[in-house]
Amino acid sequence: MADSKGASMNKQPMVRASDVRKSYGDHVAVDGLSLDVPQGKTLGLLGPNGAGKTTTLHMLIGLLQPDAGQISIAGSTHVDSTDVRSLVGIAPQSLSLYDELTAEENLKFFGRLYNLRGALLQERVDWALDFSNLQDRRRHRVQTYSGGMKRRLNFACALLHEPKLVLLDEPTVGVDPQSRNHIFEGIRKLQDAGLTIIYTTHYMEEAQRLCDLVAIIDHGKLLELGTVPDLIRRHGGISVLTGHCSVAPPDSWPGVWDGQVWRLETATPLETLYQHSIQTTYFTRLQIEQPDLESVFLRLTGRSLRD
Amino acid sequence: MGNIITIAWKDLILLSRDRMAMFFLLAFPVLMGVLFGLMYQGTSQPKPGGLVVAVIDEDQSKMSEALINHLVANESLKVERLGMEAAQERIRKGQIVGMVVIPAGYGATAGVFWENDPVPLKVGRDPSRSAEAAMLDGFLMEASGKLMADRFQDTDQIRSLLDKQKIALQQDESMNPLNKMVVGQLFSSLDGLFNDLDEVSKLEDKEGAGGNPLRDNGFQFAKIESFDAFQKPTNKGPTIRSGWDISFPQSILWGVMGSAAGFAISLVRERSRGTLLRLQTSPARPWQVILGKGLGCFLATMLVLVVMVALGLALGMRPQSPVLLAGSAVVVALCFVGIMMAMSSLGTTEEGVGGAGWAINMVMAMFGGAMMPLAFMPSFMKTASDFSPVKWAIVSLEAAIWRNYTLGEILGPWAILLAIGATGFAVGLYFFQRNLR
Repeated sequence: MADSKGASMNKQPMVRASDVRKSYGDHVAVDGLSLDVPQGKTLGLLGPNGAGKTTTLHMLIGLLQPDAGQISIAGSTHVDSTDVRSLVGIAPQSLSLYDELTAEENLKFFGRLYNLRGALLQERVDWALDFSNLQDRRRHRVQTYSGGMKRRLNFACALLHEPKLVLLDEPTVGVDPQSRNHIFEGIRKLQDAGLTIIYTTHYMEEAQRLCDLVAIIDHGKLLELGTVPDLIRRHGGISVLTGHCSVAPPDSWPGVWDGQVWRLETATPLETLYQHSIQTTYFTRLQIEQPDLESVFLRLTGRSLRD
Repeated sequence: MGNIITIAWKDLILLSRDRMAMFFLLAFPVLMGVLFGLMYQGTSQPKPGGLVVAVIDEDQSKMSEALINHLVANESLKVERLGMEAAQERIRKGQIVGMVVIPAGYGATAGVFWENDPVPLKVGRDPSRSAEAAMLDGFLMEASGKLMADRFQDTDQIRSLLDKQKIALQQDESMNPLNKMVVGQLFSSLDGLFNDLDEVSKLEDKEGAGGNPLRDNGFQFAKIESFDAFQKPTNKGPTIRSGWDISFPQSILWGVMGSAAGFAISLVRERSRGTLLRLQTSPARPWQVILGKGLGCFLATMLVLVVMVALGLALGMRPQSPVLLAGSAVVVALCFVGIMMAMSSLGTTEEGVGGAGWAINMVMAMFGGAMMPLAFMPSFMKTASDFSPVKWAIVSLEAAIWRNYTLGEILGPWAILLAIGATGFAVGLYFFQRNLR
């Protein structure tokens, strides 16, 4: 019986949004959004500015009530209840820290709000300081920290109470490469620990590198949801082979030569090279441009993510 | 309750690390209290030489000297004998209140009450110090009264003047005969009075107890005694023991207002820095966040009150009712928690709320008596002060420190403060929740 319940829990998505709508006056911020985030998966939420990402996040954590539709977290539709809030950790895009407090004081304050007390609180604070690599600066005020250190602490504050769902809103904005790698390592550890993560970012390579699933949102609508390879396969378009050569290629080769550059569009670049016995040594330079998430995004929204 | 205390404690730590906020919370009220306290030090007892005035004696008579002596004897005056130019220069530089010119011929008619055309004293004033000049007029009238008493005590001199006046009356052809008869009878009566006094004096000389009955019986035109209007017949000792009793209630209010403005800004800062989002997504409920802020503000305000009262006690302030003072402190703190909440709704940025909050504080302080004591205000400001919570806060504190209110009497100001606080809290809460949506 217990096994049956456990199996049922595992099948239940950590986050489920069903036909969720939210408007501000005449402006429709979220328009019929439906998606599931399975437990233990990392969902990348991609969309240009004003696409509805923040509104979606705020509805997920109960800060906003949807006009229509339903949101559930871990099976509960009472997303602003104390129990559900204890399951969720958020690292907002703005550094939500008290600059005049030390790292340790910030962590203890937020820990107490999650009912952590005494030895357990101290244990979790030590863990968070280790996680953010700030043990040696624990008693320094946050206002003396670099941007990267603040960002790491902001991240650690979201994990203090051991949430099951973590919302990371642009967690690497304005940080140095070292801190960025540290945050990536942290995310990997969370993924290994089986946490569910919702991750918004402007950096395609981060989504491609970290996310199991990617949801592309624009004008409040979910345009696509899937794994990165699946999205690229379905929406990325074909690859482009480009070769530089001063002598015209043989007529048996497909593609177009403009006198300097030979160009061929194909869905299977390596197979095409093999099939037509195209000698790579013929070219002074040969490159293959493969589609990525950026091209998927561009194709689906008609604009770049930074627009 | 745990979350409320956690949020309040965090805010108190943040406050303690904000040097500017701490200055306005503690240092500024102390400075105000000490400054005003020193100014009011003379409130409970006469202040020697408070009014500096120049005297120019152009008469050089016995009576002009007597007038100057009466002025010098007044403890509230410091008399400087100067020439006209020196006196004008001192007034121009604001070093003295004014000057009294005693013109030549003044002594001949001074203190003679029947003289219908006496030589007038001339008073030169600093136009910017009209209140002090009015006090000088009063002191001059007092000295002139004493001069008149002097005249009556010197019967030889007054009879000589009377004789001259009788001759002048007889020679006056222009006066109405009826009036002439009435005045003549007055002079005859006075003549008779002075004859009687001489006889009494001679008889007493023979018995070895000679003197002038008018002088010896302390003849005065009016006798004035001061008493403490706040002192009740059953109380012993002065109610206002020092200037600190007056200065501290109003200076405490500066700290209280600083606390309210500081916490109003901190509430907006939570939003602008994003920490409010983290609070909102934590298990803490919005009402716990608000009550946490309110508790922090209440405790900070109580800290100001306790520190200021302790300092006042050290300097000599002696509250009449410590229990009512404690009650007033709690009520004032609760009122300003509400005002803090209302202030936090005045803008969406720290700068906006800070600017608007202090602007409101200034208006409340100006009309409420924290800048200028209510007693010195023009009547329209006194009327307007009824709308300032600062006034009722000062009244509540003064009521316990030196106004000697009973519990029944102090309940009125307390009720007004609590009503203002509750209204402010409701307004602030409404806008806070509206901004969360």
